Amino acid sequence: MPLKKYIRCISTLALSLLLPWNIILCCGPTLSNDEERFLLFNSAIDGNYGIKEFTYSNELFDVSEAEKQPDFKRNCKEWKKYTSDKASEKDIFEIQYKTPPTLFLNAYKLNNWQNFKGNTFIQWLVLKENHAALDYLALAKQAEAVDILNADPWDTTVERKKQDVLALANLHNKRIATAPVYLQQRYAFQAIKLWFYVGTDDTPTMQKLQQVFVNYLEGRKTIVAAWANIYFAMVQKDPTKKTLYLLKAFDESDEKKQFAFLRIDNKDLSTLAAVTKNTYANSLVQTMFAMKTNGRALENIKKVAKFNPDSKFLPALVGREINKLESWLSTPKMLGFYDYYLEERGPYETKTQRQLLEKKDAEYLSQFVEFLTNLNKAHPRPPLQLALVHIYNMQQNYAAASRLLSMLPVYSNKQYQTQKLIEQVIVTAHIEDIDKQAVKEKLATNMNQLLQLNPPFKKRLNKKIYDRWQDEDAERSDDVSELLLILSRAYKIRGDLVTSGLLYTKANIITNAYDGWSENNEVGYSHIAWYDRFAKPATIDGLLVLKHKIKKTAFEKLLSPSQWAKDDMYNDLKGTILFRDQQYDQALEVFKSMDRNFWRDNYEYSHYLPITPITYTGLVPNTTNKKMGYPIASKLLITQDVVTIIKNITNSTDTEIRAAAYFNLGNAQFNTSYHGKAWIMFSYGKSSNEPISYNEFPNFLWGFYNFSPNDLKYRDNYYLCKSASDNYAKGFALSANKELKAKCLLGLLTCRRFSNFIRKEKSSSMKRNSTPLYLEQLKNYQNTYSFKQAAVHCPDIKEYLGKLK
Amino acid sequence: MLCRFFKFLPGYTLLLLGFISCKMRPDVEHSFYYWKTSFATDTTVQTFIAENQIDHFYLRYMDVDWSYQQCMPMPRAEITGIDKAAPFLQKKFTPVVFITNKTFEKIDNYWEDSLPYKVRNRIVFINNKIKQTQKQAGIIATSDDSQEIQIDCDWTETTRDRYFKFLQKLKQLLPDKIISVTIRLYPYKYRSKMGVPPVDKGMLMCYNMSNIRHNATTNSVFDIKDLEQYLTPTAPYPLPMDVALPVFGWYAWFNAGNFKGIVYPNEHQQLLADTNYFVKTGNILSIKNDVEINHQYLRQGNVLRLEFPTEKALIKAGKLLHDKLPNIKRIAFYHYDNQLTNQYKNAIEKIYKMY
Repeated sequence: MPLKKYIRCISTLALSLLLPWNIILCCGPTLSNDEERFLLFNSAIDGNYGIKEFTYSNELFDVSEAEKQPDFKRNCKEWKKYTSDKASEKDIFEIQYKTPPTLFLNAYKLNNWQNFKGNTFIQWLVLKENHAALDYLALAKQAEAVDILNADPWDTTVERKKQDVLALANLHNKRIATAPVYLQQRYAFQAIKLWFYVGTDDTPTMQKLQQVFVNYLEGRKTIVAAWANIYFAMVQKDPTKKTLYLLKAFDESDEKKQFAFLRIDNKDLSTLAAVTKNTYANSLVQTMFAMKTNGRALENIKKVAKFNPDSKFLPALVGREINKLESWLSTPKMLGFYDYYLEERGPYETKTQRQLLEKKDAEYLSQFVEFLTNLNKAHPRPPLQLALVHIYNMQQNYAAASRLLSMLPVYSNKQYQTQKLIEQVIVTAHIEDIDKQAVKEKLATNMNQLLQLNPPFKKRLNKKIYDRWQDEDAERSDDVSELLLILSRAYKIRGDLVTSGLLYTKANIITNAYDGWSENNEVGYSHIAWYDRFAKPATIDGLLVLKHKIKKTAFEKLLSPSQWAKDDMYNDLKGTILFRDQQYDQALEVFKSMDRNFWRDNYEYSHYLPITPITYTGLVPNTTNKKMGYPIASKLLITQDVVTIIKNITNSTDTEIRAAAYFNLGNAQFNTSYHGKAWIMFSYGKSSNEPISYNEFPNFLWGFYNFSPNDLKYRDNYYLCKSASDNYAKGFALSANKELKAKCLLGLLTCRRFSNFIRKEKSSSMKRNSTPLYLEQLKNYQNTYSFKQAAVHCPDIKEYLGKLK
Repeated sequence: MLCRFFKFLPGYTLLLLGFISCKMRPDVEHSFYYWKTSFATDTTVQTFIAENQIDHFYLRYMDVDWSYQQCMPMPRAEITGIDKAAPFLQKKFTPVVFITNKTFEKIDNYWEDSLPYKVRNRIVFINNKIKQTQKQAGIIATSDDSQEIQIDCDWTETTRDRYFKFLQKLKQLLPDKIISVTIRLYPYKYRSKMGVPPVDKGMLMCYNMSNIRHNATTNSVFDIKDLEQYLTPTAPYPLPMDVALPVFGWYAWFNAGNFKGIVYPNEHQQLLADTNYFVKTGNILSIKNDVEINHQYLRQGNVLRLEFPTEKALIKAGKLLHDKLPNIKRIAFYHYDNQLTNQYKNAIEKIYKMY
């Protein structure tokens, strides 16, 4: 096929394999749930406090729906106390939060509580002495029914309801005067809330709101007072006062935290800090400063500890700071940011800059260790102790981490125990001999405990059922996966590639490498991606032995994927590795052991394995090879031909036969290079993440496919066609036949031309600007049939050579 | 003499027809997208409208997105500040509703049936709010009601059928309205794969063409080379088309060659020009010292890739689109912001003049 048509053909084919994961761009790209980070410390170890999980992006500041349950439970506890424990929390919750207003109000109107039989709260409410509470609840349910903010978001009748809301608010206010204290607070809250919803333009109403708050709610120890802080804050004209009450709402309520967080301004915080002497307020100000920055917040955290060392926010603040350090230090290292493309980074970063930043961050880490050590001495708490262990691990001070761990108890608190187990695994992975069976079993035990404590961790490991794009909590559910990644690296250092690869594959973490897509079937690149990068043929043998082992140890079960690939998927990789290394005989034996239809039926082989002979490049007419082609897509048949060619070279004594064989071998190697029609003999994909000039080949086949580190290892042969060139040169040197010599020269020139599209790199053994020797020589063959045909089929050749004249 | 006249008659006729056709060729409307969530007082917009002879605005009414908590599609970011919208309402305008692709991925049968009704009702609700506000302000609207509704959605192959069903139903519910949709370059080019929406017309959005995450991308917002590649189909798109060009941009933020997010320069121009923190080389800003912008913590060594379309590229695009899509009725820019329109004043003027 002529060169240009071939390129066009490839370009068209590029469309058939699109990014399965398009970046959707309307007003900006759709990012993943969070940026991919390597985080092993749970900053919500003491609870989320109702604020959004820390994200190292401005997603932290996206409006999100509040966590209401903790506050609801608190409200129910207060009611339970008010009923002198006559009503159960469960029943109170049922009435408060699960009963539709209309159902309750109908029952109230008709005094018919049949639908609530057995509910202890209703039983208490209907008693004569408790009618005040029942009347309150009925009014509250009316408020719920017209609550604008809880209305159907598609409701377009909201505006008309405002008058009803105002009337209801005033009624609540009216009842305060005659209600018992407990109910006064609740009426006050309902009035304030409803007045606020009606709108803040009405000054008299806003004044009433503030007065009622001050009279009945300010400083009271009840959840409704905590909630009311928000409404009081939002009607303040004085930004300092507004900030103070927003901080109080943040502190006292879970449901209102996110709201308050998003509305507190740093400027107003600074002003408040300058004027207040109150340590409580100061502690909250510093807490908020620390929470609102994605940068370094240690100074703010130190101040929080100074003003209030028992602050309930300290564990979260410390946790978030650790998460930042993990983003800066652990993430690039563990996710392989710097593994590839070092020389490609261009303006995007230099090694010097990176090292400077690492040094700065390591110094910051040390400062943090010092702070935490002192804090733990004075005010030890489990989350802070576990934080210190984690920081020691980050510093690779595993001995110190181990010492501290040994002093910590087995926690009944699930979050603490989970974190402790995580730290234990990290310590074990680094200070014990992980090749020993006993250590492996210890690791398996700890990991299994983690999985038992945390079902989401288990789900995450099962590719058959886990969909990361649906998991809003992806960053929290991947701790075991991240531990598997740590172990994978540890085993790789020790040369245990079978274990390392299985751990990596099981971890299913996106790193700076191409791992295919998370296929949950028996055939897919994700099963072999890691091995494609690092395995030797013997590794695959070991892998298959483990796969078929019947009685696996606990550790081996941990390694085993939720779904193994077919044996032939692994064998194909083994054969491909041998093929790349030009061990053609051995590759052939492997391919012979496989199902002959494997390449027809699986992966993308059938799209890219040619059925025309491997020795035919389309550059010159194929006059010597009379074979019609392959009956099916098959690596076996192609490899068989290559082996036959090599036998001709080795066994024949006729120089012309050998020369022709070299030429054919050159063709086969060109065809199985990046530029050839059978590139899939060598690689599992093609994309712009390869050392190819983007401007020349802008259309690629695989989104994000990456051949690293094989692109370096096989650069000369796969991209620069060195092997093919060498064989063309041998053919040319051996032969006396003008036609064959012309063909060899054309082959050499084609190799040269394609290698020019490779991006500049330092270590190529091929000189890019080749001597004009071959070009000059080709002039001597202008009258050959081969040259004339090449010029006809390939206008590029014609044009290229025309310049020589 | 008569012979001479008849000899030249074909020429005269042609000249006459040419003249008539020039006169009768319909004007292409000048349009702009208004995409902010709120109208604000803007003293420059009237001048802008007059200088550029703006005939029409696309006004984003609201977004629709899937809520994981409520397990339903929710209206979000409904336009507010309608009392300040007067300048944009005095010409023709088209309400636009942006619906996320996720919505169509997630909706069940119930919402497949209900969503068109909900969206229709919401549009009518906002239309009524606008009318009321205008009445209260004593503004006489030049158009009684918008004749067109536009839906903006980046549909995919997976969501195509649901999205198209939604559009069909919406058309049934609003039979007297023209329903238009935004069409990105990818579905424009690969129409057999992506389908052609069952609507009255399309707006070709000529921006956000390439992968922002990619190091080799020069400008993911707008690259004339990418546009040329997408405008290759020779057969016209099976819908009447208008076109929109970008007058916006951002910085793509990279850490160690990995895409981290977008930095919107808006209120941070001064900081971005501060050489204590940033060093500019071509279209790359390198960060010298850690700095926080808009809650994003940029580290020393990170880079920001400037992705604003150049004036030259936009003008070239205008010419290219003029050739490739000669029958458009409206040329629009995305999106109105008085800083941006000032920045691109020249390009906007030149492109409008082409049509």
